Amino acid sequence: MNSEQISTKNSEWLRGVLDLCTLSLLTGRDRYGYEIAKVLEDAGLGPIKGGTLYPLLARLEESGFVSTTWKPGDRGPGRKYYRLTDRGRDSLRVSVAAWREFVHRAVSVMEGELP
Amino acid sequence: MTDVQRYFKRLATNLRLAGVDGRSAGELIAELEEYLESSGTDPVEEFGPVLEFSKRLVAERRVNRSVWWRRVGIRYVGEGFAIVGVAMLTFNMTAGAIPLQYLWVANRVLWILAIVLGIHALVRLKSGGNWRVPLFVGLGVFVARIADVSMLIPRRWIMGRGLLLSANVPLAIAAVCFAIFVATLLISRNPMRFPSSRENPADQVTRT
Repeated sequence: MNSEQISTKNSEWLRGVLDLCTLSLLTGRDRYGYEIAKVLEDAGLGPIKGGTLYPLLARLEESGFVSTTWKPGDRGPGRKYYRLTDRGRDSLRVSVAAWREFVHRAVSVMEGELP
Repeated sequence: MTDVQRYFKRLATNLRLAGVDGRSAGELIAELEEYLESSGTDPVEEFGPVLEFSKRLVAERRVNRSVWWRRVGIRYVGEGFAIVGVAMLTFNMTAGAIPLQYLWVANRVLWILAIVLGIHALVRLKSGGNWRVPLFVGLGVFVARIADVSMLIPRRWIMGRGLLLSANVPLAIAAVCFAIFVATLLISRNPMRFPSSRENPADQVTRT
């Protein structure tokens, strides 16, 4: 498998957990859209396009997992920051546990540890 | 290189036509502009084609659409007013209640209604909104007035106004139709009868 195919695989996997990764980034501090995309890319999860991120942020906001607030930016009129809500925190905790379990099972199957 | 202003203008129009309230749409555009400024990328490359992007955003933002009574109240009741207004206007014209000298205004209003409603329906069809009511009303009015081709005013003029008004077309049409409706009611109270649109005034004189 070449690097391009690996990159495509990474994108496919990331699609399934991008919401969890985004919520996780907001546990420590509020962040704005571009910052979220940049941190995820710097963490090695590949480039996240705004066309993918903003519909996701809208869904998280609609679900009540994040709230938003406008803060003055370094330049220009200001930035919209996303904050994890209590509901989002609860959902993240449950989902991360479920994801760990899923990954554990998937790895077990891949390594031939069938029940 | 994509025209950024044009991209966001189209995005804002699509969001508004799909029912996203003005405040949410404005905030989202401001946020996306800020994102693009930070990333230094092209809007189509970053967000994708404007129509697909707006549809994806709308699909995720149901809660942030206008509250139901505003959606129903302004859009559908507005279009209902348009139907009632046109029906009453047509009825009054047929009954001869409108003075002949005002008929050219009424005819032009009907053409404008038909064309603007048609354009509005097509724009809403493109943006994924409910297009059936304005399309049917537009078609109905258009068919009703098809015989009077001479009243067709320059298409370019209508196109410009139609697109400019597109975000508030139902409200604008409702306002115009309601005004016409009230005017026709006031006129019809006048005891003096006027020749109808289908009658030649000369015939009226001859008959009397």
